[in-house]
Amino acid sequence: MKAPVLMIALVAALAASSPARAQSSRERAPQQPERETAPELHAAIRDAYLQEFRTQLALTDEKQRDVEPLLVEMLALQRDTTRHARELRQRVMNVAEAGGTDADATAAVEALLENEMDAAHRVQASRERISSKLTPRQAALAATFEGPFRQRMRALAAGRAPDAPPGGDAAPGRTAPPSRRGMSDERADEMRDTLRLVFAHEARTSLGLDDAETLALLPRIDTLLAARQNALRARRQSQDELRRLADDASATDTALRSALDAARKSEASSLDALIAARRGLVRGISGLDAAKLTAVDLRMQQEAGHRLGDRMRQGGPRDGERGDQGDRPMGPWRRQGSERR
Amino acid sequence: MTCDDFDRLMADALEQDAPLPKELRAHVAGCAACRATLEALELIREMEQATTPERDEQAWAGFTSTLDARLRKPVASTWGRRALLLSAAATLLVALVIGLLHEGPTAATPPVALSDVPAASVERALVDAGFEDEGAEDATDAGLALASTSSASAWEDPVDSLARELAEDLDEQDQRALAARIAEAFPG
Repeated sequence: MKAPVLMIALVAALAASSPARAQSSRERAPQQPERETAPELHAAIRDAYLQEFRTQLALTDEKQRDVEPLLVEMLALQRDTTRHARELRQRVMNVAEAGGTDADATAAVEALLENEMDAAHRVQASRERISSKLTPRQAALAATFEGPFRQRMRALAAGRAPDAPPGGDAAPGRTAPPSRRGMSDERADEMRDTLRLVFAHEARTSLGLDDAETLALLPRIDTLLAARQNALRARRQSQDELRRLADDASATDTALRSALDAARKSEASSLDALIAARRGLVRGISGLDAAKLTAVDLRMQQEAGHRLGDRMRQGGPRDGERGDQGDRPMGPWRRQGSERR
Repeated sequence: MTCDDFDRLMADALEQDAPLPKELRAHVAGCAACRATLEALELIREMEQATTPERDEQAWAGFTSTLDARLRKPVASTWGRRALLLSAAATLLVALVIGLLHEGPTAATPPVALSDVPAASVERALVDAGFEDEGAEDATDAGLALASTSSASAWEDPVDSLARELAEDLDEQDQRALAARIAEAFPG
């Protein structure tokens, strides 16, 4: 019993005496810009991406001449929006860490959310321009090729053959679709509860919330996690359906168009819900607290993404992809609020 | 009493640091949602206390013996779930202390990154939450996926995000070598 007591006491003393809080070598300080990647790596991935797009969609030379400039244009737009979003995230982090006026903090959080919505609409418009040049089947392939492409890249990075399928039975050049190892409702609930409590604990610590304030925050965290879980599930379902139809030679153009339309609507709806939940998280609190709370959310999101990427690289070409692409198996969301009386 | 009444009255009770009034206890007894909320709040308070320096050694001993007792409970029970979180908190503390012992505290370079706590606690808590089941890896991945979900997939640069992911832990020379392997695999 002595050892844990000593450990906890040491940590407590450390917490009290180290306000500066260094970063471990593995982690980046939130206020530091992310490290740039080697230009050669970026260029190689970009070229491979364009080639994979051509190959998977089986574009003719003529079609390629039509479509590739639009694809290049979309990648440039996405690069700009990503950089801008990173700057805005940094601004929120800086206000949360270093302080500032409430007005500055409110503006930083609002700019971040506004930009995400705006960026999504502009990139969607760019996607539509590309889709308009493609057959419905090609458009479905365009909407789903990124996941398998990522797995091929991870396999290369891990020193495996890029065509090695996770399931072992994919056609050459294609990776197998994700398997469905289901998760029980209870497990999904436990997982969500764990995240909920960790989020609440971090928010409590970061903002110095008392019990009543923490209690008031819990339903907002629930709403945010519900929006995330719904978005993940919706994306996974859309991707599965599009992939299934694209691989089904008997699928009609009408069915493919209908699935593409449903995927677009689902994506738009998820985006609205995600942004609304993030606005809801900070509604009615001071600008500085809003920035701190948003910073907690961003930091958890970013680090969870890093760790998911680590696990996928270390575990080989697993079936699934990045968290925000949403094709991991998830149980249905059972909102606590729905059981309330 | 409705759940909204419960929220309001409980907030008042907590503000006054008073015991839970009889009517609230009655509501909690019959309402799983509010009971879960109350338990969540209690657990958050415990997690917070675990990193609060003012507690004396006797209090810490009480905390750790409670923790030990809870860790021995079955996973599926309510207490089991709470124990998982406490386990996560304990693991986190261990990780922090290991960092402390490894790097050694100095005034110029504080030994561990307390601001890393969210990252460590997210993954650790998820790993712990799945440690007894076959699908532990899936649960952790799914949890990390949920925690990392954002609107970014609607606008993010796929090339840039992939480059960043693959370049993690690679120095510039290794990144160039990986670029060469990719170019070889996709000769264009």
